[in-house]
Amino acid sequence: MMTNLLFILAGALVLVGLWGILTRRNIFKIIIGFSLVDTGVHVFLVAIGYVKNGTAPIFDKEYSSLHSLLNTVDPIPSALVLTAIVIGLAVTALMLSFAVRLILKNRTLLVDGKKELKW
Amino acid sequence: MIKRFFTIILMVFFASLFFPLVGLISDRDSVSSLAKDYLVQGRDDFGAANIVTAVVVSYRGLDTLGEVTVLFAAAAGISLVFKGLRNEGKDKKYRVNPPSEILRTGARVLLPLIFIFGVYIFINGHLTPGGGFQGGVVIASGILLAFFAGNIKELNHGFVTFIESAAGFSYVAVGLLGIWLAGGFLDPRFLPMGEFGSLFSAGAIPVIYSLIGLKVGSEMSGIIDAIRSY
Amino acid sequence: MVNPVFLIAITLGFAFIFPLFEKINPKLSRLAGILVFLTLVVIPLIWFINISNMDIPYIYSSTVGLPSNLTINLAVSYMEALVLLVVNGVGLFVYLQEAYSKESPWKGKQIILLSIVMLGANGLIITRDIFNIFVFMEISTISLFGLLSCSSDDRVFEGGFKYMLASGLSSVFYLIGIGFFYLVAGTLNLDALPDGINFTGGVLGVLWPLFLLSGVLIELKPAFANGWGMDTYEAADYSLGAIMSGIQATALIIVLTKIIPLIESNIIMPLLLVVGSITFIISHLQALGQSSFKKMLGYSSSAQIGLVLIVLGSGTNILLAIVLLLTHSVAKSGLFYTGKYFNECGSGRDKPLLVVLSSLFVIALLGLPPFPGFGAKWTLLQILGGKSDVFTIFIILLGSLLEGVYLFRWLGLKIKSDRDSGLVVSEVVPDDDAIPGYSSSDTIGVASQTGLAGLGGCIKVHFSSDSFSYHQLFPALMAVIMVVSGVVFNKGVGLTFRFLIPFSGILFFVVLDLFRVPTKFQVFLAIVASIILGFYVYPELNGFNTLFGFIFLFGIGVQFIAFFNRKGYSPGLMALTVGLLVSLISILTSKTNFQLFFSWEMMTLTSYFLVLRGDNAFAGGYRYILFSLASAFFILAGFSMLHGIFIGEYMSLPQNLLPVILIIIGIIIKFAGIGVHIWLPVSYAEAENDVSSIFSTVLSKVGVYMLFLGGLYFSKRVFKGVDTMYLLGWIGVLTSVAGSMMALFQEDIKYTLAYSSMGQVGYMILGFSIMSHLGWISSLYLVTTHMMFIGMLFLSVSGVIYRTGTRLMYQTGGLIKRMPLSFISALFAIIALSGVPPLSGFGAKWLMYSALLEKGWYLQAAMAMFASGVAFLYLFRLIHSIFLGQEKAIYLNVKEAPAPLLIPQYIFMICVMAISMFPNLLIKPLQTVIEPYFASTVRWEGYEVISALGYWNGNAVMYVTMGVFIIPLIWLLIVNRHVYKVKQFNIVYAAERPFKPETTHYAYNFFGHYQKALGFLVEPLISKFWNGTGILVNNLSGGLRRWNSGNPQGYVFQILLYVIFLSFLMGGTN
Repeated sequence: MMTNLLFILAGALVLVGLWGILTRRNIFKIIIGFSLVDTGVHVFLVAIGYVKNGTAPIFDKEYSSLHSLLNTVDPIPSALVLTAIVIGLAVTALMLSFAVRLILKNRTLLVDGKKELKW
Repeated sequence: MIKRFFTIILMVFFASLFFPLVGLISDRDSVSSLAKDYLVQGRDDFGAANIVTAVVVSYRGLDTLGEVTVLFAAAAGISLVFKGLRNEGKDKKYRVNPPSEILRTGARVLLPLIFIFGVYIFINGHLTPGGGFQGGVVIASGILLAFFAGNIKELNHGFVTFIESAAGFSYVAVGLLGIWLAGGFLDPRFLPMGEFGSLFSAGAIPVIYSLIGLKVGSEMSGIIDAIRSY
Repeated sequence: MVNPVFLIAITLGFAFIFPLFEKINPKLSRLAGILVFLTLVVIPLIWFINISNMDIPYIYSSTVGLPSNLTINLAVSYMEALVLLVVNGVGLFVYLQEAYSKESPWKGKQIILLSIVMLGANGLIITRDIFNIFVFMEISTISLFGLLSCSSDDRVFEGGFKYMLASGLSSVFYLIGIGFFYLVAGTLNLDALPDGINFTGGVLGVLWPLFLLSGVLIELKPAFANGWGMDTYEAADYSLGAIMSGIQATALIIVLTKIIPLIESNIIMPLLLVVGSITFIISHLQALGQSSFKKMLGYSSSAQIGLVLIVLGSGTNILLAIVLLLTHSVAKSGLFYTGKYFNECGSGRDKPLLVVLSSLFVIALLGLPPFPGFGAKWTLLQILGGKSDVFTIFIILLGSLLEGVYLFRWLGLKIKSDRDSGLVVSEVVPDDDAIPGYSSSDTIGVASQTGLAGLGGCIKVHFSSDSFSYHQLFPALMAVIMVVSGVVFNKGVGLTFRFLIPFSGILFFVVLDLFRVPTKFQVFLAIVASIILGFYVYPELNGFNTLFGFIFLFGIGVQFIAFFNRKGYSPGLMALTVGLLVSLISILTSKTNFQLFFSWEMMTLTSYFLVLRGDNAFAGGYRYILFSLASAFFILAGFSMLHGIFIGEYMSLPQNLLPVILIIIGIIIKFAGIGVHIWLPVSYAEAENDVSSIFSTVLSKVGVYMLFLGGLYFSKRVFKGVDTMYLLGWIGVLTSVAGSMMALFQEDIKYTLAYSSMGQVGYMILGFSIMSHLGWISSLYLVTTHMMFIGMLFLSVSGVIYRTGTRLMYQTGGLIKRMPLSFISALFAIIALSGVPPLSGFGAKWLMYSALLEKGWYLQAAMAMFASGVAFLYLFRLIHSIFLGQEKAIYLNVKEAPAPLLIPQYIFMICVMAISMFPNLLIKPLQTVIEPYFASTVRWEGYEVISALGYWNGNAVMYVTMGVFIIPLIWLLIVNRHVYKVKQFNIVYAAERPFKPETTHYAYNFFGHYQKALGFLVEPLISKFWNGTGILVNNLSGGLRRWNSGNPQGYVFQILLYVIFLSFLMGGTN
């Protein structure tokens, strides 16, 4: 149930993000769209790791026995998501800096305002 | 209009790739066999209370090293992007309002707390949720606040570069020590395991996370500085 | 053994510590960089040597000291070591170029980022974890973006932004793929996969491969979703182009080879084939219309990746894909750099090193010998041919041809001289207003336009002081390595050491050029070399090979003498000519199809570069290489279906029709049959004179040789009653008619001779296609004698052009007094060529008509006769315009042609006389050669050859004809003792000053009246057809280019479309 909901959320985020990329002409909005897609995928990865009624895979007083450990969520997707988030951050930051240069050069916020490279 | 129509059709097609999943996926009852191995052995292997940390720093340590590299490369790239801009338009000067009283006073109170909190997050990464990246970002946010509040006017580039380089290089060096002193690259077990659940435990994991924390903190500060000084 | 993780540790450690290091000592830190990049090359080299020596399957390392299924593993096998070696070599090359660049060397962050690029590529190649691949993919793209921002062209931010969007999306797809993959497999480790993962059906079974593949494929810039990459190529610096196509694309293909085995082969293989084919063809077409060099190379990279995908998808040996990939990697990065220096300096005539390097890289890219890509493509096609996969063969060859179209165009434009307009300047009757007034200086002006300036047509190359700079050293080194590895690889595919030895002659003469040995001395050495080659090779020749061996060796060897006429220093000339000779000889000594085709391509290439040496040769060379490539590819396609049986062993060849037709078409293009002849006149005419002569005498025979080599194999029934030879015969006779007709209306003497040469080859083909004893004898007889008399004619005309500086017949005249020796030689050649008694041409014609009548091809015989009548007309015009008639004022002081040009003519003349007098000198050996194929139908009685239709006695014909000529001559001498000589300027006609003096020359528009009557026959229909084809292809290219609109959102749209396209190829999820 939970997984399905998360999947739908993830799919919605991805689709909204793609829609944004495809239809907004403002460069920053496109980047926001991209961020949404990225986030959607992160949600998707987290959802994959979900186990019914699972808890965080961290030892503490309540969850210290082996048996209870197996009631945690899958730690691997969590680890992957950690990495993916940082990478997404790096990409977005770089994209924004390119956008700044592009906007300052073209003197417009529109992504297709001035196409100098084509064909 | 016709463009939008095609876009809608495209999106429908794209979404339809996933539709069949909806009825198919249900909550999993157990973790995968690999995850089971991690959950069962993680404590014995690395003595880290936070299994995710064990996975991130050790089992999949190469990913994390790569992740640090990605951030490092992005920081370098961003500074190059803005450096080019600085070279182009030197005469542009923006008038910046001086920070308000509230900001200055608040920053004076908050800054030490933020830095300590950041350090706390990364040295406790093997015990609680958190770790090098989170800690580093918190530290960088402190730097950002310091910029806003006028506590620092100019970042000491030499110092930041030194921290960044030294931390990064030490990370690689720790990894190599793993080969020579323990089982393999990035094996944290060349330091004593310590008492499970305490700060000095889990071998070199806290060391690695601290190095990552310092590196990420200095990198993010570098990015902030690159954007700010334009 | 070195742990693979050191590759990562070294690059990363260097990148991290570099900022500190640079602050302390910038110079030393750059040196340390060299050390680091060198280590990256040395480590894989050690692995490569060890793995291939010690039979270690691969070097394996799990990162944390735990069981390998728990951690991320790194593995290096033979293949990975090889790829790492090349990729890191390219990396070292880029580092050396950029860190020590003269203007704006890379420093600080740029060097760090380059090191991280290398880290990313190395990681991608060695990692065995599917998520780790994602991390390294991001590392390599993000570091690339950082480097992009330093490009000198600030449009790079636009391109880079598009690239980021695209690569961001592709990494998102890849992440989605990872998610589904983990859901299905429960692990990310490629070495710990549960059994049967690739057989999971259902939605998940499609989703994970779909998205993993989408992620990787889109990063590889496949056609119709690659505009973003191309825009980046256009704006990015050359070095980044080299990184993108030489390093990153290569690493990503290795990633693909890790993913492919995961997916069920009956899904993935057709998919790769379709995706690869589309990319290979469309990207080449898009590249065709580019004006930006970098973008053109970008499209070419994309297309090459398409080729690799085809190979991967065809299920042949993966090593072939790797060889093609690595050849591309090195050649493309080399080309980016040589292109950079080239584009900075304009025409390359005075930059011989750059010319050589660019040529080598272009050749390597196209998969031509001697580079590794050649052997790989050959093997690939053999395998495909064995599977009768005609479609894939067609795609591969079509794409390669398209690639040749734009790469050779670029190369030709770079090599052409500044005077070269790049167009085909076929001299026609000038317009009335072309010559404004009459004065002698104007006439000289015209003459200088047409050739006086380039006296003798030799290129004057001077080495400018900066032509050997540090920066060209490394591309040169790379080229050398490529040549060596190519020779080694091709030797592995099927060349023997003994076969390769003669080719070292090319190397020898290149070395002589490096030491600036004077051309004249080189010519001397070349003559010695051809004698040695003769002694070395001749004993092992037999049958037809002996005859053609004689033609090639003797023909070229004698004409080497003409090269003594060269003044100054002509670098590359002898290396290429000797290369041509060696290739021709190797064609004869080949024992396998591979050796044959290797030599064939070497011949094509050496002759192409010989053409390009001409002053106006761009258009000619371009047509020459395109048609030659097309011809070679047809032959290659045919060869690929012969199941590896040598074409010379015609008895055991497979009997299906398709290869026969393909090979025959290839040969028709090579001998310039009617319809595909447009390359011949231009290239023969625009090559330098002494080179044209070699082309016309020797090179034109190689197509004929190929026919005789296959011999009876080519005779196949196409449909009821009509066989291939009947059609070929028609093509032969039409070619000879067309060649002669077109020769008739040329003002430019070299065009006349070129067309004439084409027409004569038509006769040879006709003779072959008769498929009888007499037919073959006539064909081979003509092959031999044509070599001699066209040589005489060409060299004689060369002398005239050398002395007068013009190729236009009407500008000369009356040269008989100035150049009597040349005149005699030309006269003899013309008598021989036109087939009038008493010289050898008559014998050839007599044999030919006998054979045709014997066969019952009466119409063909009539047309052949018509063509030889026309031949007589244009030859008459030639001798009449040039040597007879009125002398021109400006040529009063012209001297006899120089001895180096005369000597070969007279050697040939002696041979022609000997053969004419004693036909059995030649015909007897020919009979023994043909005996195994056809029983003799002629018989010999003394000097008399007797066929079913009559007899021919060379001796008697000679004496009779001599008598017929000598008696009137004596009579004339007696009668005309007191002739009143009209001086040049004794204007006996009128007191009028002609307005257009050229038009009053009788030689001007000599056959104007025939042109009115028969001109419609030579209307340039065929030129129009080929021009139309060119325009069509260009328009197609233009249309396809427009698909990449430059709009980032459009590109995102294309990418999504691509994913949907891939999902359809995989059968969809529902």
